[in-house]
Amino acid sequence: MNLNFNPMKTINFKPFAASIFICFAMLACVQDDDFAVPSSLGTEENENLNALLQDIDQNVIQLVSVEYVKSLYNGQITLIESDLAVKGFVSSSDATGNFYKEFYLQDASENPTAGIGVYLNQVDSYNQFNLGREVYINLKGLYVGENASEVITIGGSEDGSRVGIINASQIPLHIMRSATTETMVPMVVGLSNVDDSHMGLLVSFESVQFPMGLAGQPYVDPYDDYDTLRPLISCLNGAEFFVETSSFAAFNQESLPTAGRGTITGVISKSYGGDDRVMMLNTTDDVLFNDARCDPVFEESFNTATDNTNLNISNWINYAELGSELWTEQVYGGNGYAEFTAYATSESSNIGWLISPGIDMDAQEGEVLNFQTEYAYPDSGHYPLEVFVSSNFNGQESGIATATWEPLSDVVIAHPDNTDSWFTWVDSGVVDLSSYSGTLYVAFKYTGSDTSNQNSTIHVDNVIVSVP
Amino acid sequence: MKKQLLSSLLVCFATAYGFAQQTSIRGVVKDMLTAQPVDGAMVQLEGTDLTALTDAEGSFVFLLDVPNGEQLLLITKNNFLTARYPIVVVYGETLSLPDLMLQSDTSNDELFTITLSDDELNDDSSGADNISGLLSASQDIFQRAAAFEFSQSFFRLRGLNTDNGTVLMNGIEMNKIFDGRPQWSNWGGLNDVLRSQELSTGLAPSAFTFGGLLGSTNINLRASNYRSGGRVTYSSSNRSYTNRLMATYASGMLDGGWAYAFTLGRRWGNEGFQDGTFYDANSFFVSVEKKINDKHSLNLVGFYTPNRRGKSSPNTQEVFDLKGTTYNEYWGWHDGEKRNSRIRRIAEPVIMLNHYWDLTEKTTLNTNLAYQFGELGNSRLDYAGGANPSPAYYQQLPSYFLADDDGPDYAGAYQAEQSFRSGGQVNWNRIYDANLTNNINGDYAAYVLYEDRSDDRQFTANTILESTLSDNVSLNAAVNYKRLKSHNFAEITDMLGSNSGYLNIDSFDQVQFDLQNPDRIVGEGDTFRYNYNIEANVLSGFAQAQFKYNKFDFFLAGSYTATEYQREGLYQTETYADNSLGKGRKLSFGGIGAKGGFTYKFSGKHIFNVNAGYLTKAPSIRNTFTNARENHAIVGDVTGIDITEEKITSFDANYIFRSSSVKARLTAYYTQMQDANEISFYFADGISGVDEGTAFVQEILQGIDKTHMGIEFGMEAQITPTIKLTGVASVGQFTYDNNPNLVLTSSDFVNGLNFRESGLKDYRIAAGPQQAASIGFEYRDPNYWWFGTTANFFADTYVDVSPLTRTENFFTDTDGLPFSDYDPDLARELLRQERFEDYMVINAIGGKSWKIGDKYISLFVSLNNIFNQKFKSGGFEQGRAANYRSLQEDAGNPKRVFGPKYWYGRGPTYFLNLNYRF
Repeated sequence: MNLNFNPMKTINFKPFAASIFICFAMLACVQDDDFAVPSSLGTEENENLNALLQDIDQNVIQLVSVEYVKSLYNGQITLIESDLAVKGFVSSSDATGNFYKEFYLQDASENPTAGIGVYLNQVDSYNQFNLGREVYINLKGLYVGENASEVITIGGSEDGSRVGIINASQIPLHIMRSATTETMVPMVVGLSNVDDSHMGLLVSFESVQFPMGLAGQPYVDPYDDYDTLRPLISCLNGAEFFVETSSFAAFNQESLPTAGRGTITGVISKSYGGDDRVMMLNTTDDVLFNDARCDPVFEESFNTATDNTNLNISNWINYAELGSELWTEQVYGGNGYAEFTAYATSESSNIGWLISPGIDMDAQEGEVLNFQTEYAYPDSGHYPLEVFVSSNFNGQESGIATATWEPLSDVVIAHPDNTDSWFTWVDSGVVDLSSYSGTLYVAFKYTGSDTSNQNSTIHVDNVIVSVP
Repeated sequence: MKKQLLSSLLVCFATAYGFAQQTSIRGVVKDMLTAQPVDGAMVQLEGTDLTALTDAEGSFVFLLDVPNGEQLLLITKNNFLTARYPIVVVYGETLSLPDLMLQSDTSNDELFTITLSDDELNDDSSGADNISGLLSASQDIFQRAAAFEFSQSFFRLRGLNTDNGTVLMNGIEMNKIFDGRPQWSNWGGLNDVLRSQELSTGLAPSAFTFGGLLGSTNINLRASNYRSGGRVTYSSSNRSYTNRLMATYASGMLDGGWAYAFTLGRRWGNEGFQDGTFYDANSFFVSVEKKINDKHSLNLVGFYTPNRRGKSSPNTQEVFDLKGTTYNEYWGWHDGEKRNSRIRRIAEPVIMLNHYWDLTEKTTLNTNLAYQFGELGNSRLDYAGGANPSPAYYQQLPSYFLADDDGPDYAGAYQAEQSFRSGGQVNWNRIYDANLTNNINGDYAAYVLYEDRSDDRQFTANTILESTLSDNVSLNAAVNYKRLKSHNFAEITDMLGSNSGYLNIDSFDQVQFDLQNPDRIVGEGDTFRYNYNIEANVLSGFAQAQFKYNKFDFFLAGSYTATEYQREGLYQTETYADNSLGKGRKLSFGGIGAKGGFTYKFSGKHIFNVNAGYLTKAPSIRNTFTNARENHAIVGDVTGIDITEEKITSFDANYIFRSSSVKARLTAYYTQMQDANEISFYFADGISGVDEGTAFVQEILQGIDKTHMGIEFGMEAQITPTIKLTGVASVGQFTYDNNPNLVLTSSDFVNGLNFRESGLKDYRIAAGPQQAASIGFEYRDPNYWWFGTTANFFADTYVDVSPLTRTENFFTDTDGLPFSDYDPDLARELLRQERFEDYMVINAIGGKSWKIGDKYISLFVSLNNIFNQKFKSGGFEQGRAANYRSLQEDAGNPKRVFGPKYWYGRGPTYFLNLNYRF
C-alpha cells in the first residue's frame, strides 16, 4: 500500500486556497443570534413624556390630582375636553391575571388619598405599567366614569352607562411612564373602616384570616364562571371583608391559606356590579398568613336566635335580679342578637344579667374581648348597660350576688343621647383581658325602670374573646 | 436532443469503410466543448443488449452480434446530455465514428444546483415540502419538468410526500427516522459533489435499496468518482439566499491509489423573496478514497452544512390583502435590522466509511458505516408573562373588530387596519421593554426566545451485495441496521434583557413541566418545557433479482423491516405524572415489501412496462407518539384500536416511445394507502364536551385510507438541430378514501375525546396542484449559448381541510345534542373544500459557455414567474371555529376572523449562476 499521499503535486494549490480564503473572508454578515437590548428602547415614549412635562411646565396642560379627576364624574360619563393631565403610581398588577385590561393608580406611593382605575385594551400591562411605576395620563379626549364594578375609572370612550376601553392606538398617546418606579407602601386600614375613598388603593389588612370552614378550598370556586368572593375575618373585631379573585387568575386553584393569620395586601375595588367592596390580590405573595390562627377563644354571634323569645342559649345565664323581664333573642335582617328593654314591663325596677359561659383563660395568652352594641329607642341620660367580668363566679344563678364583678371601663358602648345612632352597631373596641386567668365570665347587666322613663332598649351582638 | 440532424449528417459523412470482414462499430466519444475524449461514457445500441464503456481515449468498439441496417446509438454519461445518433450498419463492414460529440449538460448542472439549494428548504412545518431534489438528476422529461417547472407551485409527484422516496448516499439511507423524509439541508450547498446520482423512479428497481413509492436516489460520494479539476461558482438570487459561493476541487485518482475531493460553500443573504427571511449557510465536504488493491477500496466521507435561516409565516387572506404576498409576521425591527423570531437552524454533520470489495468480476460487496449527529433547532418566542407577540394575532386585525358581538366596530377596525399596515411586525422594543420592566420588581421574564431542539445521534451500518449471475440475471441484496437516539427538548436561547429568570411551569394552566424540579427558575441555555428521548432501532433486509432479455425484462424484489421505538421521558409532567417519566413501552413493527415489474420491448422505439408493489411500513415516529413532548401516549390509546403498519398497494403502467426526434412517456398509476395515521397540533375552538370549548389539542387521525391515481405524460421533440419543444402533463386525483377515526387529546381533557368518524371520504388531499402541465421551447445555438421558456399551467389545488370540522363535533352543541338551528344544506356549503384558482406561470432560462485556454466559464440565468402571477401554493383550514355555529358565525362575518391560512407562491424571481472550471 502506498501511503505517499501528496495533494500538492498535481495542481498549484496555494493560489486556489488563497482565493477561496479571501472570498470567504469578504462575505457579508447576516443576522446572527447575538442581539443586545435595542438602543432605541423608550426613545419615542420619552419624547412623548418630555413633551407632556414641558406643556405642564408651561401651563399649557394643567396637572391635576387623582381626587380632582374623580370629581369630574358626577354620575354621568364625562368626556374630558380641557388640557388636563394626572399623575399617579400603579397600585395593581395583572401579572397573575387577576386584573384584566385594567390597572389602578393612586396619587402617592405612600399614604395615598385617592385612587382611580384605568381601563385599557392591553393584556399583561404589568410588564409596562408595573407596580409602583409613576404614570402620567394626558386626559384630554379620555373619559371619566364608572367601570362594570362601579369604580371610577378613566376610559377611552363611552360604552352605555360605563366607560369604554382605551384602545391600543390611544394608549401611547395618552398613557406615559416616567423612569421612576417607587416602592409601594400599602396603607394599613381596618377591615371595617374601608370605604369608597379607598377605591384603587393598595391596602393592607393586619391580623386577618380566612374562616376555618374554607380549609382546603381554592381562591376560586371551580363552579364560579367569573369571580369568587372569599370572606376575610379580622382577628381584632371579627369584621368581614371579601377577597375577590378572578377565575382567570393564575392562582385561582391555590388553596386558601387557612392555617394561619397575618397581613394581606391588595387593591380595594368592588365586585362586579358594585354590590360589595372587595380586595383584589396582585399576587398571593402578598398574603402573609404566617402567625397562628386567631379563632376566637369564645364567640357568640346569636345567629341561632329565635325572634322575640326569651334568650335561652345553652350555657348562657339569663337572670332577672329585679323585676321579671329577661334578655330576649331577636332577629333583624337575618342577623340575630340579644336585647333587653325595660319598656312596657310596668315594673319600677329592672335588672337583667346576661352572663356568658365560662371561658378558659389559661389555654392561651393575650386574650381580648370584642362585641357590638346598639340602641333602639334610647332615653336621654339613661345608660343602662354595664359590662363586667368575673373570675371567681361559680357559674350558678345563686352565685351572681357573691361573685366579684369587675367593670370593664374602657369599653365603647353605643351612646343613648345621639338619636342619629339609633339602630347603629357600635364596636366595643379591643378590650384587653390578658391579665385574667382561670375561668372568666363576661356579664352584660341592664339596669332600668319602666316607670321612670329609664327604659331604653339595648342590643348586644358578636361577643368574641380572641387572641389577635 | 440538440443538433441531432446535424450530427447524423456528420456521422454519415464520417462513415468510412473499414478493412475487416467482420461487422463492427468503432468510435470515439469527445466533449463537444473541449474536443477532448470522454472516458466512461456508456454507449448502447438501442433495442439490443450491446453496451460498451469508452476507455481513457474515449474509444469503444462493438465486435459481436452487431445487427445490420438502421440503428440508434445511445451515448450517456453523467453531466453530459444524452446523445442519440442514427447509424447505418452494413454487413461485414466496420463502421467508424471518430467524432461522436457529447455536450456538457450545463443546464442540468445549474438547474440542479438551484433546486437542491432552494426550493427544498420549505421546512416540515409548512406542510409544503416538495420532491424536486429527488428528481433533479433525472433525464426523464416529465420528472425534470416536475423538478424545475412545477416545484415552485409545490407540485408533488403523484401527490405523495417525500417520505415515499429514499435518498441514499454511498448506499446509506439518509431519510430521517422521525418522519421518513430526507433532510435536504444536511447536504445543501454541496451541489458540485452531489451530481453523480443513480435514480430509480417509482417502483423501478434500484441496486441499493427496496425504495419507496417514488423510487430512490443513490448519490455517489466516492472521491475517485469525481472528475479531476476545480470549480468555483458564484450565484446571485432573490429567492431564498442572495449570494452563493462554492469552490470544489477533486484530485482524480492519484499515484498510490489515493483520491480526494472537497467542497467549501457559503450561501447567505439578508432577505429572500419573503420579508425578513435571512439565510446563512456554510458547507464543508471532504471525501478521501484509497484504492488498496484491485479488489478493495476504502472511502471516508465527511460533510457538514450548518444552515440558519429565517422562516416565513402562512397568513390569512385578510393579512395578504393588507400586507401583500411577501409579508411575513415573524420578523420585526431591532435597532434598524430585520430580526426574525423564527429561525430554523440545522447542523448535523455526517461521517461515513465505505468499503468497496470486488469479490469477483461479477460480484461486489459494499459495506458502509455512517454516523450522524448534531442539532436541529427551530426558534420562537414564548410569552408566559406577556401578550401574544404575533403581530397578526387575530385580535389585532380589522376582522376581529368587524366581528364584534355588538355589531361591526368600524372605528376599531379602522384603527387596527392603520396600525397593522404601518406596523404589523414583531415589536422587539416592546418585548425587551417588558422584560426590563419586569426586572424592576423582580418579576420573571415576560418573553423569552427559545429553540425547539431535536438532537439526533444516528448510527447506520449496511452491506450491499450486487452480483451478475449471468448475462441475463443479476442479484441485489442488502442488510441495514440503524440506531437512533433523538434527544428532544426546548432550550432558552435569549432572555431578551431579563435578569430575573423564567419559571418552568405552564403559565396557561399553572402546571409543572418538570415535577421532579418544581418551580425551577431557568435562564439562557437551560432546558425547559419538555425533555425526552426517542430511541429507534431499524433492521432491514432486501433482496432482488433482475432478468434482462432481448425482448423483455422483469424483476422481483422483497424486503423486510423490523422497527422498534421507545420513548424515555426526562421530565415528569404534572398533567401526566404517571405516564411521562422514564421509559415507555417498547413498540415493535414489522414491514414487508414485495414488488415486481415487467418490461416488453416491442422495438427500440416502443417499450411497454408495468410495475406492481405491495408494502407495509411502520408508522414514522412523528405519527406514532401522539404527544411525545408530554407523555408516552401513542396512536390508538384512546380508541383502543392498536396502531398498525401502513399498507400500500401500488400499480403503474408505462408506455415509452423513442425515435430520433421524439421521446415520450405515458404513465398511468394507481396507489392505495391504508391505515395511515396523522397527528397534528393546534388550538381548537368550539369543541363539544369541553368547558369553554377551547383547548390546545393533539388531533389524532387513525386509519386513514387514501387513493392517488392519475396519468403522467412527457414528450420532447427535436424540431431542428437547435430547437426543441417539450410538453408535459400530470393529471391526478388524490383523495381520502374513507372516514378515519378522530381523537383529540389535550391537557384539558386527559382521557381524550373520541369523535369517531371524520367524514373525509372523497375530500381532496392537499398535495399541491393535482393537475399540472407545461409546454416549453428551447433553442441551443452552436456557439454555446441557449435559452428556453416554458408556460406552466396549474389547476385543482385544494386547501387542507380540518378533519375536526368533519366529525360529529361539528353539529353537536356543548351539551352533546345537535344544534337546534342545524341546517344540513348550509352545513354542506360551509364544509365545501376550497379550491384555489387555476393559474399559469411563465419561466425562462438561458445560458452561455466560454472556453478560455483550457478553462471554462459558463453563465446561467433563470427567471421564474416572469409575469408576476399571484397564486396560492397551499393552505390549511384553522382548527378554530370548529363547529357549525361558530363556523357559520365566522363565515357570516364581513371578513373571516379564523379563515384558512395560505402560502402564496413567489412573484418574479431570478437566479444567476457564474461558473468557472479548471
